[in-house]
Amino acid sequence: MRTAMLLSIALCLAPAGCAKAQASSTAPIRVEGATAMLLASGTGVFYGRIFNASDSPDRLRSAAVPQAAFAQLHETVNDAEVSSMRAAPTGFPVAAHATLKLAHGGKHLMFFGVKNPDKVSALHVLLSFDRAGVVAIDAPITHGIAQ
Amino acid sequence: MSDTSCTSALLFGLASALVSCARQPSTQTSTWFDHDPAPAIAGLRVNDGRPFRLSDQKGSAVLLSFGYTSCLELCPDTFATVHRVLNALDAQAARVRFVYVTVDPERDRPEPFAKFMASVDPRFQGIFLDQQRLLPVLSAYHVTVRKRVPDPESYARRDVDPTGYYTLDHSSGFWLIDPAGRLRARFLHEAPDAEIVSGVRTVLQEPN
Repeated sequence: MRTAMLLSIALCLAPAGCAKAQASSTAPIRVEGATAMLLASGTGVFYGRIFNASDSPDRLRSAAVPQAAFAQLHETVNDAEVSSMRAAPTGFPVAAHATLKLAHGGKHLMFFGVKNPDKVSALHVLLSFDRAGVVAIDAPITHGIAQ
Repeated sequence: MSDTSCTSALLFGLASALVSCARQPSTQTSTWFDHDPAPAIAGLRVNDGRPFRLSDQKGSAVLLSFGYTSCLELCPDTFATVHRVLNALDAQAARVRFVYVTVDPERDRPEPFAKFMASVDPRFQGIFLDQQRLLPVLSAYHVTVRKRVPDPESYARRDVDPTGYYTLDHSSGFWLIDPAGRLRARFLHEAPDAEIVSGVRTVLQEPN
């Protein structure tokens, strides 16, 4: 009887234990403040704050914009004289319990070749993380240069 | 004319000459030059499709900048700075021209470039030069332009050739040309608005 009771308790606890194990192996990613700027040429940029709520570091490896022909993670670098937008082909790290900011003047996602840009009201972005997998975001769009 | 009047006139003329020849002190974000003519720029003003010559801007101060329409990080800041500077200049802004030369003639063709400039500010003059005419201008103004082409192997989507989706590193900030057509100063991107406003006011107030 006691053995059966102990076994029952173990069985009841096991699913919760398994769920916890799964939770610790999944890196929950939250994206806040997602926004995009889109020009009439079909070129644009996506910004947002990416929070890694897990106990493990992750990496934003790449990003895609299905509405665009091409998308590329970049980082803006300004030396005293020359401004560069440099590709980040291996993406950006996101430390555990930390925020990766994709923001103006720094890291960002640039995309090209959106067709009929004036008809696009939201940008669909797929962020690919090493641990968290693909996170989909819909970002509101500002048409034209935001000043 | 009496001796005193002659002396006064001479001193006034000397003082004026000294003021107009005085070079402003350079800072970490600005460099002032001798009073040499600004290197010529002749191209197409995309706003109205008419020929543009920098020398035709005499009588106005010119803030000159180089960029391209797919520059979505730095160039919006440049435009915002110009707006703030013009606002700060108030009535004097009527004597200032902002001239923006594209360093991407391959993609910034006149018609889409014109639409872009109109969307930013119709007062801002967008200038198109073909590659052959652009290169000597870049050289004369010591403008750096570097093309960064995506490596197709780095991207999973192989049904698109990404080499057309390049970005361009380019020199940022402004060149200031005075109403007499002389290149007077270079302001870096980080130059405070007040520094640019002061510089523009200086050249506007000089006797020509």
